[in-house]
Amino acid sequence: MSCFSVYVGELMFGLPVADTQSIFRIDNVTPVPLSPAQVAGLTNLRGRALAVISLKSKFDGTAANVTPGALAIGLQVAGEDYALVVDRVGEVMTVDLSQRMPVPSHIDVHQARLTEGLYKVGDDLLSVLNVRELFDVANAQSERNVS
Amino acid sequence: MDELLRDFLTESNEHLAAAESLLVQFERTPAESSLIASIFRLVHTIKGTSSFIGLERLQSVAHVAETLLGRMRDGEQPTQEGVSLVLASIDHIRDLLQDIEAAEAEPPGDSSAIIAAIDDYLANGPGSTASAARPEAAIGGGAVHDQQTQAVDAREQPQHSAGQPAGKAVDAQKAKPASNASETIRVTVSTIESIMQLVSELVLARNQLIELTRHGENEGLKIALQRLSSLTSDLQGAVMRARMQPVSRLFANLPRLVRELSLDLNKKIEIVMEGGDTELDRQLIEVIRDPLTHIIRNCADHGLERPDERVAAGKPPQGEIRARAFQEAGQFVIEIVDDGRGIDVERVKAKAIAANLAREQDIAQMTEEEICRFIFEPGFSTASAVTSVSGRGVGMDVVRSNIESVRGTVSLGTSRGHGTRLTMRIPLTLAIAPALIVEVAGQRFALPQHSVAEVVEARRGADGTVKSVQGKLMVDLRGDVMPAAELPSLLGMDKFESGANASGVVVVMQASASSVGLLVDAVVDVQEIVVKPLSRSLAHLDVFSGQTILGDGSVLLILDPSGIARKLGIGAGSRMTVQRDKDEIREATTRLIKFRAADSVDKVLPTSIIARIEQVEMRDLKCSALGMVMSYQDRLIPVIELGAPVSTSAAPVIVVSVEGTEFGLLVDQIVDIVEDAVEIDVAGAHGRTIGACRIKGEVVDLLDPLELLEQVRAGGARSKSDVSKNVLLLTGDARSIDLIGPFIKAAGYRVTTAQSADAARTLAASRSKVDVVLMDLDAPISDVTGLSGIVDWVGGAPVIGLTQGDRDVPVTTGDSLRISATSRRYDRHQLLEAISNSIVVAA
Repeated sequence: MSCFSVYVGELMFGLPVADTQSIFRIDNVTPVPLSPAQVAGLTNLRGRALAVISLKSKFDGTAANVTPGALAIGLQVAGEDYALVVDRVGEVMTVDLSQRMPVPSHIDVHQARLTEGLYKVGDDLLSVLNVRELFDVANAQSERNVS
Repeated sequence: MDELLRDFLTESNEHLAAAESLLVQFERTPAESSLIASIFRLVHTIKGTSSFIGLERLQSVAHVAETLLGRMRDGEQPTQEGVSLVLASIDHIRDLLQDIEAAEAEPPGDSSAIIAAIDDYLANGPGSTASAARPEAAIGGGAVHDQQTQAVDAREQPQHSAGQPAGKAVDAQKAKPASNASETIRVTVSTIESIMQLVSELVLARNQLIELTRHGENEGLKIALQRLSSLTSDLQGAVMRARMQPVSRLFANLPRLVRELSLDLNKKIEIVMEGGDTELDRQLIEVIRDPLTHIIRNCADHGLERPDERVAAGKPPQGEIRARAFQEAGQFVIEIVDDGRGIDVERVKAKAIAANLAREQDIAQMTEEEICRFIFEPGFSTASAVTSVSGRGVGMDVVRSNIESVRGTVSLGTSRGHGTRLTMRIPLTLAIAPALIVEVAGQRFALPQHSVAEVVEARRGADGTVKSVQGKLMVDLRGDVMPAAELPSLLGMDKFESGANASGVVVVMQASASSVGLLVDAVVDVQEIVVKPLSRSLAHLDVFSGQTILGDGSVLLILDPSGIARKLGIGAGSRMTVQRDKDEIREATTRLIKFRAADSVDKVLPTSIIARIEQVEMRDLKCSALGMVMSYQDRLIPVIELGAPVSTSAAPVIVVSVEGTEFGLLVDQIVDIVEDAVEIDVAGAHGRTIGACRIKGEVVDLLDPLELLEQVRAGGARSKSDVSKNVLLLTGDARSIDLIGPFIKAAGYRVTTAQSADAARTLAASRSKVDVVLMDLDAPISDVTGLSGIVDWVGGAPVIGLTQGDRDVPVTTGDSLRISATSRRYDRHQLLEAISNSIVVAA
């Protein structure tokens, strides 16, 4: 499996290449009132409206703050288009699926759910994002409301 | 051609084609029992439909074919002969269909030949002489044609001589190219959907192009673009029409339904249908088919009375159900009105409580319309007996759920003894819609134009369109009061201060039966937008119905009026529904404000006399010796305490304006604004109450504004009309000024006082108008010599002399001031009377 490495601050994650459609700079974000905090708004990518979701706020729970020019990865998950905002995109690396390790138990449950697993890549460890969990915003919202 | 017939022909030809190919397969693999079952079903459908339409000849042929197929389906080994007979009968059916298409009726003659052959086969089994002859030849491809000709021959025989059949056969062949297949083709809805989707994208691309070339100078490009633009619009229209069908399809079976109902129920019922040519999306027609049937059944069973009851009620014995379809504000509306007994609201109430749908105290606060809505609850029925027609409580909930599934609404209006009106509104949910682009707090939103009733300037204040009731905004549009909201605060947008923008506009939106006013900064554009479903991560936000991309590439959210109404708490079954459509069923109604004060019974006052409703801090209500007063628009107005507000901090005060006098009514709570016909049930004025009446099924006291006015006047409220009169009080006695001045003011006059000649001269210099002069005769202002200037000033104004005791004769002072009347100085009544008399005389 090929993965991009994406960065939020110094944290590195892997994003399966198969899930991504494009990497682009966000032009303009239309904020969506009443929306969940992680949704920064909507943006237009070649005639399609994408929900903009900040990977950072997804992990630390802060309100998404996305300015024009931010780097985003266009993904299509379950027929829906999303733009995932990251700080930096690294190189593409090959992940050996047999090298999967379960997410260690001391990682925050909420964060652990967003990662699909840990993989050994060379000497490094790469946590690969679970895109389905990542964009299930409505779900995450309702869970938060319950708790 | 009759639409039903055309549909039948198209459908049957398809069935035949399918049956034929299946039959060939079946012959090859006779073990495949599912094949014969499918063929059986197809032929059975043709038989059923043809019998329904009344094509008897066709039916008889299909019937024998069906019997034959039934045998095979039930396990009889198919023989070649049997299969050939089936094929022959199918060919025969096709020929018949062609003739029907040409003549729009069954061809004369009968099909006894083929029927006899099959009957013979059925009776005697394969190999019998009678059946053997024909199908023998029918097996090969060319032979089928032979059989066809034979069949034609067979049915032509009674009418035609031997030479003619050939000509007829040619006719049939000529008819073929122009047959139904070319006139209508069946296209799956998904194909049309995808064309629609593409057209939507095309519209979007066109809009982008227009945006890009807006500032360009290239004329050639602009002309080409214009052409593209109009073609796109045409294409869009054509695709939409492809989906549209007239409602008459729905209406077609109503007369029969009503006829059956009237027989079953033993009632005389007439159905009147209007607007059958109104077109509606094919899918939506199917959605309202069942609801319509249910509603008509309900009208006939529950709504309309028996003929004898009708006559007793002074109505014609024949009941009427009226179905009307039309388009309004981008919505498809279908109304069903009956002239029956109306809905018994009390019974609905009782049932609702019995069925645990609502608590008694909740129902007590509901309007009649809300109570009627219980009818749409599953399992709800007020019928005391279950009839075959209705009464099982299944039906009206189907109506609601069907209509709501296409984001439509159902509303109900009823008038006891006069009838019921049920209105279904269905949005013409088309992918492309014109929309208003509004701007608010720096962000733009799209508002579907079909839900926008109008846009008006937002003026705040008592005489403006936007008012504040209990801290909530209301829009008063030519007497139509509706709830309103500032969009940013509704959407929880930050960096926004409520009421910060005094300007702006109110967009009046129609959400189901109620209207909602939306305050926005401005309407910036009107555009055609392509409605796209909301991103899944945002789909739970029901204030938005979708998103769109504008020509400039920006993404906009589309506001959903009904979602907004729900957010405001005025969605379905709410209490703040102000009926917009004026119902002719209803009598003349009065708009009333309903409020709670002290007693258990709510009170009402007509809104026409209400200037404003203020939320007043308790500390701003001052108790003077004359009663409570409050500051209102920089003056004090008296306040009558009707209630004993529970809240110690603030309470609503209704500011009433009657005959120019304004006063406040302190109440516990504003309940509602209702509109109903006012009929006093329990008359007999008691103090402030004119009588008790029922408004929307609820008992309320109607207050007497004149009595309240009287009460206030006794307390000395000033009448605004008199404030213009100026009274000049000239006295050397400071005590007189303090004693007389205030009560003259309290009576509604402006009072100017002068204690010295100097002061009088200063006043004279101002040249303000004086209507009455009060001159203290016992304590004249010290320097009388200065009076001459005053005389000039006051001109011909009447002068009233104030004396200590009685003094009958008017006294003339040394100057030309003529005293026209005298009054005792401290006799309030006499003095006020003298003043008003003087004013009248002077006028």
